[in-house]
Amino acid sequence: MGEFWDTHKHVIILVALLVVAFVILHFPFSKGNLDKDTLPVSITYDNYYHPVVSKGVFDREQQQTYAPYRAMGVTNAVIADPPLHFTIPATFTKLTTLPFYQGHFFISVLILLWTSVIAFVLFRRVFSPTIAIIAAAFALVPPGVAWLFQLYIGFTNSIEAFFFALFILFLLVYTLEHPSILAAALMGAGFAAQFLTHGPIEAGYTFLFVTITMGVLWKKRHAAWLLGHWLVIFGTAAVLSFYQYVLLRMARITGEGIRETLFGGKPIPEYFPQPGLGWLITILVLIGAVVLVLRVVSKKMSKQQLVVASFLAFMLAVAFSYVLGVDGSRSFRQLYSAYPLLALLPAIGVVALWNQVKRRVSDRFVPLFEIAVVALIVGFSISPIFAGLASIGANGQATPERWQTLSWVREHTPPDARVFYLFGFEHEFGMLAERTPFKGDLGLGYTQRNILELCNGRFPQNFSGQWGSAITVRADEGRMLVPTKEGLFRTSWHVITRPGTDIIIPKPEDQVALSGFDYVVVQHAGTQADSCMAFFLKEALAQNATVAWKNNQFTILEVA
Amino acid sequence: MEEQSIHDLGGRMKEHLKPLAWTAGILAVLALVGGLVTPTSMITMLTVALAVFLYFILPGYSVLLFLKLDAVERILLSVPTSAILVPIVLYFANVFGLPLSRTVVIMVCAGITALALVLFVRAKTTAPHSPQE
Repeated sequence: MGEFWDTHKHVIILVALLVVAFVILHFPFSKGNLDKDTLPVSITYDNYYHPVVSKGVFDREQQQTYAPYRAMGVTNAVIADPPLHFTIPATFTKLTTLPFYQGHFFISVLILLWTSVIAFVLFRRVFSPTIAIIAAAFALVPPGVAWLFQLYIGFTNSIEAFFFALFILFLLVYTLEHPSILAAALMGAGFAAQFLTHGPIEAGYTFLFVTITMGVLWKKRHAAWLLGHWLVIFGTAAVLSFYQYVLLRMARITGEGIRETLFGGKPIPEYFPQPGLGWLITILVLIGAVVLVLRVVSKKMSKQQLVVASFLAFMLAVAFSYVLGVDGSRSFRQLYSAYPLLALLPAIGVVALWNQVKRRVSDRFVPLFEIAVVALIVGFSISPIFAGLASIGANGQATPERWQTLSWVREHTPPDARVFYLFGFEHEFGMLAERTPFKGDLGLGYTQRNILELCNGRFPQNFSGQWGSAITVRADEGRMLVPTKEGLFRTSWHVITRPGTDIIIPKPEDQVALSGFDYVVVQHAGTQADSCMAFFLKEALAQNATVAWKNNQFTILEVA
Repeated sequence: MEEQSIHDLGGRMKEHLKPLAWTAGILAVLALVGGLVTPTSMITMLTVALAVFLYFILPGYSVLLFLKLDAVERILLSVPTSAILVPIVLYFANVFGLPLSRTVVIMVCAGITALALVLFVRAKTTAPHSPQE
């Protein structure tokens, strides 16, 4: 037992940490029930968009075209979103008996946690097992919810792309010791995975770092070897990314383009959580940073350690480059993604302090020290983090009444039904019903405009909104165009005439009369505008709409 | 001489299988405990454990046999390796017309694993001192 413990103690501690961290991240949202067919996290746009598109892939067993309810009813609109983010949950869940949304959430939590595990493997190899396990404790059970984004409420593509970045970093470190074509090919596949997960953002950062590092470290000694490996990396990445690159070039993304992203210098949105450290962690981080800098200056670092420290500094520089007016929000979110890597700093701080004590105590106290530190981190962190996440989980959009309503729409209406959600749901919760919605993504403004009309005692002749959701569209001389699939590789542009309207304008806004909908979902109770909803119901029923279903908060009208 | 080489290979393969057996055991125990102490059904827990092993462990582990890693590194890094290879292969299989069905997912996971193992054994038997160890 003694020998077994000595050999495997770090792995045993890591497994225990993983179990604790999984419970902390998962159970506040799922209540530990993975058989429940509801969306565990329902807070921000990402929570709806990614699972819904991914479920479309899962249900239809293909990810070449969007489910029609995501594409204004068009049946063959090409998916130009980075695909891997959808492929992994859609295919993994096929092997389980999990309801899809639980499978999607499981994968998200697994990837979040495993980013810290890759960091553990990296630090264990490059620094020491003690530093690695303490860093893992900081990363997996972080003491201070404020400065992390371990929570699955957004930035999911960034987080997943960074998961691959740390693996690429490990392979880079590995090739310094053991030049390997396979490792180079895996790095290339890793870059492709980043690109196929979140476009050029993280792949660009990581590729830039790897290229610079290879150039600096091996410039003189192994020029041919360096070039060969770099070509394998670049070639593998290019071949695997080419198809998606063509799709991206064809379609104009509805968000910012690459140029706007890199050089737009947008400010950080207010809803971004601000990083903040407790005083103890601040001291440990500072000690860790000083130790690292001193080791660099005194040239006591190995090449591998230097690479890891440089990547850490590089990611910090990327994250804070927004102050230079470069890529504001998108660069700043790297601070959250890179959290498992940044956990190296407090871990080095702890070990530096311990080294001062260690000289006076026996070596047999080292394992005790490791366990004590990990236990302290977990002990002080677990309760506030769990409570914080449970509070967020309890305030999600997926209340039982709403889920019941959406489930009714999903189960009792024709697949091509056009549905209007006239209630106070934020964003586009209605997309979960898997019917073509008249709301659009991030369409809160339309909802407010419609409700304001009703509250002013006017039944709108036309309601404002957008058909479908944020599919990749392109405006051309006043017409909406969607790339559509016609064969294995052939695609063309399809002119969209949105159902229920003849107005075709570049901005995807529509004005639709009540008769243009098949169903209208109304929250008649529990809003701050219940009287306005009552007015709508009265007027709509007078216009031949009928009540198809209702519960204590919602009414679903079928429009004749 | 050849018999000796095959015997050595068998011994090394047994060593390589040990971490896999440990991992499968840990996943099974976690699934059983999870099935007992949470509201989730035992069958769901077991299928999740099996899926993690088949999708995230086996393919990556087999490919990483070619690199000079210790057992802990190989097991833990099999997750990102599989997370790169399996979905990329599935995505392109789908581009070429294969459905993303359970059968295809199993075939791709098993195929990557089998291909890597065959190449590894072949590399070992034809050139005992490469590619790793």
